[in-house]
Amino acid sequence: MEIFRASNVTKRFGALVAVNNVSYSLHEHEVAGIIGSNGAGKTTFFNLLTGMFPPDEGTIHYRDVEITHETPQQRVTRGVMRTFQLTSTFDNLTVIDNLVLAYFRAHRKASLLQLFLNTCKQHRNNEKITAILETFDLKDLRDREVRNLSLGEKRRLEIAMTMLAEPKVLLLDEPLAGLAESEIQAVLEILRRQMGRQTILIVEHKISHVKDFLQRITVMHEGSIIAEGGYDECMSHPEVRRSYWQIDIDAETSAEAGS
Amino acid sequence: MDTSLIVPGVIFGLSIGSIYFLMAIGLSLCFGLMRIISLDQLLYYSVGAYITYSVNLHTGSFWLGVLAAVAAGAAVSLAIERIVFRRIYERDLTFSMITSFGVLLGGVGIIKFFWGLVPRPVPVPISEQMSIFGTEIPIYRLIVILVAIAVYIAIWLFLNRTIIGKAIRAGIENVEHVEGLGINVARLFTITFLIAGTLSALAGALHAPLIMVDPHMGLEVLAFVFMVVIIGGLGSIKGTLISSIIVGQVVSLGSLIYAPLAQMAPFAIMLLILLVKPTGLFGSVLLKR
Repeated sequence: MEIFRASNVTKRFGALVAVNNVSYSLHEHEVAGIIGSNGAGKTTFFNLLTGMFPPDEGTIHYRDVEITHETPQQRVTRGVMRTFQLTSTFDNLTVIDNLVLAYFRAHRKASLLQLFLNTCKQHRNNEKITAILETFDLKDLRDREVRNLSLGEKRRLEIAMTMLAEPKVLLLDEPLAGLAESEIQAVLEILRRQMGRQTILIVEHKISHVKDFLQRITVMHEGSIIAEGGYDECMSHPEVRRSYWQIDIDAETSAEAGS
Repeated sequence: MDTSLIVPGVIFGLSIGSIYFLMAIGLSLCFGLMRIISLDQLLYYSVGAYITYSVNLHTGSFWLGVLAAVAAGAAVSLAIERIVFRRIYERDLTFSMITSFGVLLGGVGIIKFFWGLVPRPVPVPISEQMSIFGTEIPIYRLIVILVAIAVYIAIWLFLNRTIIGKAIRAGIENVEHVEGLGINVARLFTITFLIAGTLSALAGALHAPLIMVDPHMGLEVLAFVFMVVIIGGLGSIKGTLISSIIVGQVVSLGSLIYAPLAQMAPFAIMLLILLVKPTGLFGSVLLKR
């Protein structure tokens, strides 16, 4: 079942067409990926899906409801959450406070008075928060200020915060960027556990790390989709080989013919 | 310098610093969270003083005047946030600065229309004095200092203990990411603006008996309040408190040494601090960019 659909979306920044007439859909419980070289328009497309800014043309639907002009906050309420290329945790708060903020918004339709009366202390021992601290191996870091965490720990916390909200669709913007090999494996292990439970869309440079994990890959180049399908299918696509791997197809073909 | 003037000088400095602190918190939080320079806070300061004057004149109760001033400051700032600022949050910093200056000038015009140009006196509600180190100190000035301390504690508890306070702190770091969590950022902005306007009105109400209330009173403290915000570091409450004490003392003790120093010395201190630490004493990491 189709859960997310972008139809003919275009986004321009002045003369630059960052996303050019892209149509894309995500299916329920699918784990899909978007890859492409720098400047391919991946993150802009991601921002259109999450409502960071509206498209100049085209529409976006979530479960057949048009959400093209909804704010990120409205999309979160529908169950669409994202992470950012640079971690979106809050450095001046502790790990537990970051989690409480994420949990509180996701699980309560709070009135203004409740927001004033609720203290973080009241939620510190919440079952779900305690469980997520365990799952993401953050228990020992609970009271540490986020500014003192490593990038890998911050990334784990960021994903933990989105998981606390129990989103229907999780959009991950380069979740492996800047991580060491062991940290990459830890993050991938966490994501693997979510397979079948959530719809996940990953924008990632490190294709080799996620290729076994993704059910469908979409390749973007200069704001357009140039290939879509399985890993092997995409990687053998001539346009992808030219733009993504910068392989000169014509030279390769004539070399093969010559030999 | 007469050493017997030091104790009253320090108390005077603390009380004037307390007024600056109450006004500067709002400016600092508004910049930190919404990235606006809210010069209209000076209007709420004037509104607070005038409402205190009028209520005191008609009821004879200064403290009732302070309560009415706080309520009026909240109401006016809420209305202006809804009508004006909500539409310009996403614009450039200079846009908000010019708009808020327009609101301030328009507001001063309305004050002139209702209260006229003549400066108005507000009697000091407590005329008794208290002996500190053998020097008689007006109790009212001590009360102003205590109110500022209470406000600092309340704001600290609000920002560090409540969920909404933590959301505001998170928003000062990165408002987009707060929005990404599904938190209603527009509501955070309104609450922050309301707090700022209310505290500016409280500052005006408390300051009224120590000065003459006149339509341009906001413009007269403008430079000092800005200095407090800049020295303390935009977005930092602790920095605002410390810098308000510094500016208050420099104004007060400076005038004891050589009167023109009271006006000049705070600027010199600000330049010195900015040379050593461009983000101010406690400027946030984010604002160091």
